[in-house]
Amino acid sequence: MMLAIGDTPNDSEAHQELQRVSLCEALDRILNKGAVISGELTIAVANVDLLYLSLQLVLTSVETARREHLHV
Amino acid sequence: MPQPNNEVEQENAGVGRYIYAIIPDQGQHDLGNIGLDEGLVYTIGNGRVAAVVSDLASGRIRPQRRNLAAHQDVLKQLLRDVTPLPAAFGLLADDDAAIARILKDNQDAFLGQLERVNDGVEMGLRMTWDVPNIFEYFVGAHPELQELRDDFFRDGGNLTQDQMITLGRSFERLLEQDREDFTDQVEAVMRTCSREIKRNKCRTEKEVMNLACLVKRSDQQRFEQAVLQAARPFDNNFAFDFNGPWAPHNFVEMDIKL
Repeated sequence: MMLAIGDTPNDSEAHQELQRVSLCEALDRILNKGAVISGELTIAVANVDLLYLSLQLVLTSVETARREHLHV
Repeated sequence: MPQPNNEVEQENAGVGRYIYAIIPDQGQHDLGNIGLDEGLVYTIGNGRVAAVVSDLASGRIRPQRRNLAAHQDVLKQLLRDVTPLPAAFGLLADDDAAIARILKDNQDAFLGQLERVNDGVEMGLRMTWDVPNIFEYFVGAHPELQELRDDFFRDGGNLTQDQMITLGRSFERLLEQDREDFTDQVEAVMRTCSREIKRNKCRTEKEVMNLACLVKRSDQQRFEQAVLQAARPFDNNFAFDFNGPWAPHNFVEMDIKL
C-alpha cells in the first residue's frame, strides 16, 4: 500500500513501482528486524549483516538511478 | 501432527526446524506447504506459546528472493489471524527438543512481547524531500546556507578544503535540524492513532523520516487519515508514503542469551 501526496499512480508502471517499494520494505524488515534468539539456534545464513549492508547499497543505488532517470 | 520426512532425515543429519515466528499457543495447526522449499508450516507449542516452523533438510539457507518471499508470506498469513512475533530471516533450531527448550526458557519474555503487540499491526511511514537536487533545495530553503555559499564562491568558485568542509557541515546540521523538527511535527499527529512509534535511520539524504507505527488493527483507517492530516501542512517538495500492515518487526526486542 502506498500513498504519494499529489501523485495518483494507476498505470502498470506505477503498480510495479509499488511492488518494488513493498519488496524493499519487506527485506528491510525480515533481514534486519525481529526476534533473534541466540543459544539454541543457528543463524543459517552466512553474514546476514554484510548481506543487509550490501542490500542497502543496492536499494540506495536503485532509488538514485530511478530518480535521476525520472528527472532527466 | 506432521510427520518428519524419514528419508530426508536419514540422508541428512543436518535436518532442522526453521523458525518464522512465535505466536500464542492455540493448539496444533498447519498453514500448508508455504514454507521454505515448499515445506509444511506448522506449530510446536507448549500450551502458552508456540513456534511456527517448517522442516529444513539443509543447515544452510541461501538468501534468495524465493526464500525471503516464503518467510514473508508465512508472516503475512499469520498476521491475518493473530499478531505474531516475527523472527529475523535465517533462524534454525536443531530439533523439536531445542524448540521446546526455547519456548520454556523464554516463555515469560515471549508472553510479555506478545502482550505488547497484541491486536496490533506495524505500519511504515516514510517522508522524503521530493526534489531533484536536495543540496540545491536546501540552499534555496535556508538563507544562511545560501549566504555562506555565495560568500565562498564570490572569488571565482575554487573552494578551499576548509570552505568545502564548512559548507558540508552547515548542510548536514540544517538537514538534521529539519528532520528533527518535521519528525516531531508528524509524530505528534501519528501518535493520535499509534500505540508506539519507532524512528528508524534514514537511508538516503532525501529521506526526512522513516517511522514504524504500532497500530491497533481496527485503527488502520484512522492511520491513513492521520497520514493525510500530517501531510497537509507540507508543500509539494515533500512526499509521504506509507506501507503495511506488517508483522510488528520493529516492536519485537528480543535478543535472549541462553
